[in-house]
This record gives sequence, C-alpha cells and structure tokens, in this order.
Amino acid sequence: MYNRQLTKSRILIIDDFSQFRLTLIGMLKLQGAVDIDQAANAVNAVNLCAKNRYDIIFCDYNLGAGQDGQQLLEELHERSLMSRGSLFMMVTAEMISAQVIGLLEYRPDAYLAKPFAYEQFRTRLDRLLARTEPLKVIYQALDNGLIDEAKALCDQVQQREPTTRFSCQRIKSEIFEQQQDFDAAQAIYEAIIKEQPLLWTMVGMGKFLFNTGRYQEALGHFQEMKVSFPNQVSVIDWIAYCLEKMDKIEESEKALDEAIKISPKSVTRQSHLGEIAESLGHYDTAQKAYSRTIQEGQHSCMVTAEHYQRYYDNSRKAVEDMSARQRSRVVADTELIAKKMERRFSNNPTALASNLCALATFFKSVDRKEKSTGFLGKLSKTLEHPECRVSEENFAFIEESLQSLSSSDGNEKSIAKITTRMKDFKQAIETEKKQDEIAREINQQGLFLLKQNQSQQAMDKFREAIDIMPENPNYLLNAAQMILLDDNMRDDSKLMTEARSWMQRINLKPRDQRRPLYMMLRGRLPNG
Amino acid sequence: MANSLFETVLASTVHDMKNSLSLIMNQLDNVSIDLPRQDSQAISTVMYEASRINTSLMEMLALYKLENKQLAVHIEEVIAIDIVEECVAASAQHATSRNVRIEIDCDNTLIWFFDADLVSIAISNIIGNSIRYAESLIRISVVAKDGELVIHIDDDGDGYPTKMLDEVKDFKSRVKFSSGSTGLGLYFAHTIADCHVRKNRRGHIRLRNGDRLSGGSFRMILP
Repeated sequence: MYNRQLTKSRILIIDDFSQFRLTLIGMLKLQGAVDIDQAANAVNAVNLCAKNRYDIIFCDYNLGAGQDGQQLLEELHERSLMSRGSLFMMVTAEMISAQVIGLLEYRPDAYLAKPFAYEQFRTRLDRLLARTEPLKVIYQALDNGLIDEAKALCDQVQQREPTTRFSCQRIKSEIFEQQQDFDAAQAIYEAIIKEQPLLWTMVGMGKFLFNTGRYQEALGHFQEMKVSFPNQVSVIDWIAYCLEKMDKIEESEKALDEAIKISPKSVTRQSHLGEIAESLGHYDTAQKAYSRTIQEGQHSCMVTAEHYQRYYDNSRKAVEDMSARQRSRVVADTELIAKKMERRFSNNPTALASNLCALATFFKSVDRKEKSTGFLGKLSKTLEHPECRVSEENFAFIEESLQSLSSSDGNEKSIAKITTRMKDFKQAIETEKKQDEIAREINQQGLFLLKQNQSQQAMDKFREAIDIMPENPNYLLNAAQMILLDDNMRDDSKLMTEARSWMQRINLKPRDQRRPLYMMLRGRLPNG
Repeated sequence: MANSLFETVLASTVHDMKNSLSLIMNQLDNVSIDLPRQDSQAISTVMYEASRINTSLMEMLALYKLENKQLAVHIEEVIAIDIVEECVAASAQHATSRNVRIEIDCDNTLIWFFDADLVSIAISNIIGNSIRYAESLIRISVVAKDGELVIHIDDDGDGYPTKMLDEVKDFKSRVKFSSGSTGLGLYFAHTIADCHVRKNRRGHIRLRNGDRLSGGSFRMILP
C-alpha cells in the first residue's frame, strides 16, 4: 500500500476548508506520506513556498476570499517558488471549465475532480508519480544547468519509457525556446502536429512565427486556432500580442477584452489591457482594467505601486466624461483603494510619494478639495523621508501636478515645502544621470574588452558598472552571463553565489525584450 | 438574461451538491475502515449511489455546456491504461461488494488522443452499469486498430434488452424517465464519442450481446 516516492516527498495542501485538508492528509498518510504542510489560503501558501521546496502541492481551485488556485499557481511560477518537476495538482469541484482559463505555461500538472473515493485517489496519485519519476533525471540536469545533457536525457528517457514521449518532446522544445533555437523547437512541433495538433504544439508553432518576426502569419495561425480550440484564452492572448506588434492597437485591445471576458482574474492580462487602453486614450477601459488589476492582485506581489498610480491617473481622466452617478462611484472606490494602498506601502516612501501626488490631483479634479489638500500634506511629509527617492519620470509628474494644485486655497504651505524638497531630488536625479553615464561608459568598455577576448578584465568592468548602478538590468545581465555561460566559472561556487545575487536583482516586465535572455540565464542557475 | 441566471444557478447548485457529496464520500471512506464486513457492504452501496449522483451531475453539466457551446472537447495525448485503471478504481469497492471481478486488458504503452475528462465520465458510468448487471465478471479491453481506439466493456450478465439494441442509433428518444434506467449514461457516451472527430472520422458507440462474454457488450470507438 505504501508508495515509497510519496514517503520521500514534501507535500503541501492548500484548501480553505479544514475538513478537506484533514481528509486529504488522512488519505496521504495511508499511502505512506509523512512530510505534509497545510495552508488555508494563498497568502500562507506563498509564504510556505518561499521557505520550503515542495515536491507535491495539492491546491483547491476555490480558496474563498483572496486569490484562487489558478492565480496562486501563476504567482508561484512568476516568483520561481516551485521547483521544476514539482507536481501541482488542482483540486476542483467543476473540472470541466477550469482547464481553459490559465496561460498555457501555467497549467497544473493534473486536475483532481471532487469528490473522489480513496481508491480512486490512490490510483491517480500512484500513476502520476510513476509517470513523472522517469523525467526527474532531466529536471535534475536542468537544475544543475547542464543543458546539453538534459537534451540528451530527453531522448534517452523517451526511448526507455515510450509513455514519456510527449513529455520528453515538450521539455525539449521548451529548452530550445529558452536557448532561442526557434528552428529546433519548430521541428518538434511540426512533427507532432502531423500526428495530432495538440494544443501546446499548436501554440508553440504560433510562438515560433511570432518569435521570428512573422506577425501576420502568426496572427493567421492563432485566428485559425481560435476556431479549432474554442475558449482557450491563451490563444486569444497571443492574437492580442500579434496585433500589438502589427500596430493594430485598437484591435489588440478588443482581443484582450475578449480574453478578459472569459477569464477576468489574471493580473497580467488586466494590467496589459490597462496599458493598451491608456495608450489609445480609452481612459474608461483603462480605469476599469487597473481597478481589476488591483482588486485581483491585492494579495499578490505582482501588483506594483505603478499599477495604483495608473489607476488614479486613468480615473481622473475617465471621470471627465462620466455621469454624476458613475462619478461618485469611482470617487468612493478610489477612496477605498487609497486606504489600502497607504497601508500596503506604509514602509515604502518612494512608492507612496507618486501615488499620493496622483491622489491629490484626482481629488482636486472631482472637486473634493479637502481630500486633495489632505493628500498633498501627506505627500509633503513623505517626500521628507530620508529614504524617499523620486525617479525622473515621477519628478516631472509631481512638478506638473503641483501647478494644477497651486490654484487651491490652503495648499500654499505644503506646496512651498514640496518645492524646496524637490530641489534635492532634482540634484539627486542629475547626480544619478551623471553616474549612469559613467556606468554606461564602463559597461561599454567591458563589452569592448569582451570582444578582444579579455574576459577577466571585461568581468571587472561589469562589476564596476554594477557598483555604480546596482539595479540596472543591462549591467547585471552582462555580468551574470559571463559566469553562467562559462562552464569553468560555473564550477566556482563563490562566483555562482555572486551571479545568483545579480539575477535576483533583475526585475523585468513580462514582455521586456531582455526577458528571453534573462529566462535562459535563469535556466542555468542551479534550482532555477 | 434569464438564461444566464439559470446558468449561474445551475452551476452553483451543482458546485454545492458536489461539495456535499465530497464530504459524504470522504466520511464514508473514513467510517468504513473501522467497520465489520457486513456493515461495510452496506456502506459501499451508499458510496456507489453517491458516486452515481456525482456522475449524473457531471453528465448533466457537461451536456448542458456542450449544447450551449461553452464546452469543447479538449483533445490531448492520453495513456490509455491510466484512464481505464482510474475508472475501474472509482468503482472498485462497489464491484467487490457485488462479487464482480473486473479484468483489464490494455497495452501499457498505448497512447491515444482524446478528451480524458469527458471519456472518463462516460466510461465510469458504463462500468457502473455493468457492475449492476454482471453475474461475476467484467472484461475491459482496449485496442488500437486501423486508426481507431476501441474500448470494449463486456459482462457476463443477461445482456441488453433487444429493444435497446434495435434503437441503438437513437439514444435521445430512449431517455425515458418512467423506467428505472433512463439510458442517460449511454446517451452521454454517444454524445461524447460523437464530439471526437479526427482525420475525417467520427467517434461512436456500439451495443451488442454475447460478444466476448455472455452478457452485454459496449464498445466506444474513438478515431
């Protein structure tokens, strides 16, 4: 009865219903599981995953208030809180619709439909563990950054265990994509599509067209897929990406809107819609999208201070065309969101500053002068904080806002104080600009040395650039790839620790051009 | 509007009922471990009926959603033996309590392309029915032949009534609520098979008597 693999596994159960957690624990213990943690909500689950590496996660789709199972899975992926090869089982009472909503990359390994009898559960789990066991050697190789070995292992495992054929091919195609060897990935997709057009191969084929710049063809491919794979949201997401690249922004907005109607809970998708709608001047849509972003992401680290700022800004522009009733609703919502925002960023004056400024401007524009003055006062206090920084972009934003706020009575004192303080920020920005130039120059020298094959000296230059601008992704990537792409350096644990700390500092948006390089390098770090 | 309200009510009712069923079944599982054999037989009957309610709910929801284009078959690569063994495991307790043995004959490496969730619901239901009518044996065999996957479910009972065999093409008309067996399970299996289209072929089901064993013989053919 005991499953040895289960006994060795570290297991996490996430369900808001304590009775279900206990039942599941009982079932697992009967099969020999010993190491089991539990969480009643997504926040606790994320905290546990940050501390421990789990081999198997059982997560109920419906977690009550807060994030649902799919949102949690996305967050665990985005923050790299799950090992490659760990199993994520989504437990759901209505399995039939759950499988279409997520991004293809963020699907659970299996769905487990409630209710299940013990015997059924045991068979399912035994199978799943047995099916994934042969793949472990491949994940191990990947965790150790041995990419070529991992590729070879894909072929070997597939030969030994014919049932792993599709899993092995899929892992291999993902490796090729990470290495930006798009042709090799395409060959895999094409071969399987001849046999059966599976969803992941068809999406892969579209990604291939997209990644090689054939946006028109990619668009056609995904539009055809929309018919043969109805309701698959990730397909519609890709249609939106293609249209955006083709500068058909308005159509891209429409596609995103359609995707959101099917699956409104994805933070990434909502904020993407906000961004696009704002660029089109569709402030009403943008305001709603950012409102959903904040609402869905209130327990998630994927929502940043900038999302709040975009929300206030778009609200201000959107209310201009609204009826009095709609307007007062937005005002009430904004008050609530502001309260939560202040609590959330209470230890982060930099994030707080630009948001307080946006709030002061918003409330002035809806004739709530006393609120506006209140936020301006808070802004003035926040800017005095020694740790408060103001970026060049936010500097311009605050300057501009001050002009419109200066016409209100009672603001004079705050404005005078802020204006004085702004001089410090201006100086800081200029100093930083100069430093940035110096760092850029040093980085250039590093690149030049690299071309001359003087890698040791190049490395020193990159380090120097990072010392001056510790958060610049370009310098961090340059330095990190020196180590991570060199097999000799990768054997040096001290260097690897350094590379890891650089990689952890890099923070790129989902569609940043540098992201493929970043992901590839991340793949070469032990344990991702 | 009325339709979408109905949908919401339907979906959330099904959801609640399934959660309740979950608790009932799990409690039964817990209780049955400590019970003498006789009582545990009674429990397995309750368990079986609970899982039948569950299957019916799933079928109802799936049929409704298919009809309204909210559900499409999701064809993926499936290791056939996994699905068959899971379906058998779901009714293992019930089969044991009725002294029915289930044999499986399926190549361990056979991979086919179909919607695993929907086919599982259909097959589980058919197996459940067979357990009711079998004398002592059910044989499930899965083979791939001429570009088709054939799932046989044979039993050694009295077989399907002749009328059922005649009306094989028109399952819908046979869903009769007056008799105990509504034939919903067969109708569901037919609908699901019919949704599977591959390389210009369409899935279907066949009923026979005395094919491999003396009783009823169900076949699901998936292209």
